[in-house]
Amino acid sequence: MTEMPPVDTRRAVVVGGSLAGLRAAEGLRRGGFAGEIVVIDAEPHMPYNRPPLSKGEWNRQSVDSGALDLRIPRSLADVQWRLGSAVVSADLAAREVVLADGSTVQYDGLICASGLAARRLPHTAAMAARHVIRTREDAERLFAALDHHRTLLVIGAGFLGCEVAYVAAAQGIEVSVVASDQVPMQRPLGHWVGKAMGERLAAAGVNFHLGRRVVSIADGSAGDDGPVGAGADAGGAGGAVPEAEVTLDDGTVLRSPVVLEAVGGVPAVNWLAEAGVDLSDGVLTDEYLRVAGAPGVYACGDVCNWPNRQSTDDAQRVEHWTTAAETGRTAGQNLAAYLGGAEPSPFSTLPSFWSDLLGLRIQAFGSPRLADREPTLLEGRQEGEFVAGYYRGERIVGVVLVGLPSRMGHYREMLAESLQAGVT
Amino acid sequence: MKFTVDLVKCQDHGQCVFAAPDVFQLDSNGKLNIRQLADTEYTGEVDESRRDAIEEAADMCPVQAIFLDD
Repeated sequence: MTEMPPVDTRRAVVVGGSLAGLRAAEGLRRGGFAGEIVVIDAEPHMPYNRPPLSKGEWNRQSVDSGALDLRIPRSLADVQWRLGSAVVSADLAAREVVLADGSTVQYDGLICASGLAARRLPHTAAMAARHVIRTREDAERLFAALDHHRTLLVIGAGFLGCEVAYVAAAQGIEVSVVASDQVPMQRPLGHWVGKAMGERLAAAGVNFHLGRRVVSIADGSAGDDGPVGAGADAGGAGGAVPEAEVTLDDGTVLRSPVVLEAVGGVPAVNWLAEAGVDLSDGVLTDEYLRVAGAPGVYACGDVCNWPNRQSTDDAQRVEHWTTAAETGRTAGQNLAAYLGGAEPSPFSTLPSFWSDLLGLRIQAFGSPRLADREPTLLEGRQEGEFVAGYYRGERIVGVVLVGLPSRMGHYREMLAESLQAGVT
Repeated sequence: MKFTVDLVKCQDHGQCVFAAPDVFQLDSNGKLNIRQLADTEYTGEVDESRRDAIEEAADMCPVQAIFLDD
């Protein structure tokens, strides 16, 4: 008789059930971990894909129909999903996490994949008119409000704000964007590229208030159609809500029944506040994605603050979809290696992000925001499709393609080679 | 091993090209080469030794348009 292999009674807990958490669970199995996997998330949904929430595919059908769902591979059939339960604290010495309902879950290995929460403006008025986009519920609420009101004020001109502004304007919604930067997407794209994109967005119908700060938000008058009766709108987001009255630092007052705050995200790491780990920016890890001073604890996704050899030497967080997928898998595989007594692998990546704007694919490689001067036009024309290069000292650190998708492979390779040469 | 590409979902992001360049390429118009082989859905077969690369392509597809028969 052959002997049965011993059953692995250990448990890995993944806090966060979005892309990074899903890939971490896959990485655990891929790395040979045969014990129990528990994925815990405050949201009530199985893992879903967030980028479509702000991009062209936005409509309630795609949000409702499961088109956003990420595929769960067969290797994860036995994973326990504890959804709709927030983790509120962790005791890394006792190796347990505490959930909002007071229950605790013990672990042998822990992966921090808790992602971001939308950053909110510090004002408290007009909350019914104010929106963010992070979850599918956020997106549904915003769509419903826009269906009804057809007016949108976006605060923030990063990619998220510009994507929503463009899609809304293309649907005939009256759109204004307020931002403190001089041009849209200034930090990720640099001045002239942001300016070029801003001019096109303006031509597409987006009204910009740039170089302006919001100084106050107040409750304005109640919507355009009086109080809500017990009719079709009751309970929905489409009813009359007080407009938000947004005052800018030059005295301009903007009134809108729908305001989107698109001012970035904050790492959702409160649950680690008492855990004794470095939370100065997300969760600090080494290049193996191990949380310093906490054996068996790893981080991945938007919260992961790690030294990327293919970028600068300093630890940094990268809030890109591709990075969430890659760090998730690595954290899972490295935790599996730790639990199995094997060697972990260091992680580095060429950052990559995309946006869909103005009917064009915008594709970036590397870290354009690390540039120390204005980008250089590498190919094409500013008025059409083009490629911009981003330099720090003598070295190219990022490339952005506006259109020209067939040139993607060429520039990605060029950048990877340059960064490789810089390392050695 | 077999894999399927949903060419309706596919938006030619090209992440699969970096993961499995021997299977996926972008043509001179920036479109996925597989579009020349099928209209809405393509099922291909590659050697089992390519499983990791195809899995990587499926994982890295921003619109999750690549499926493995696992």
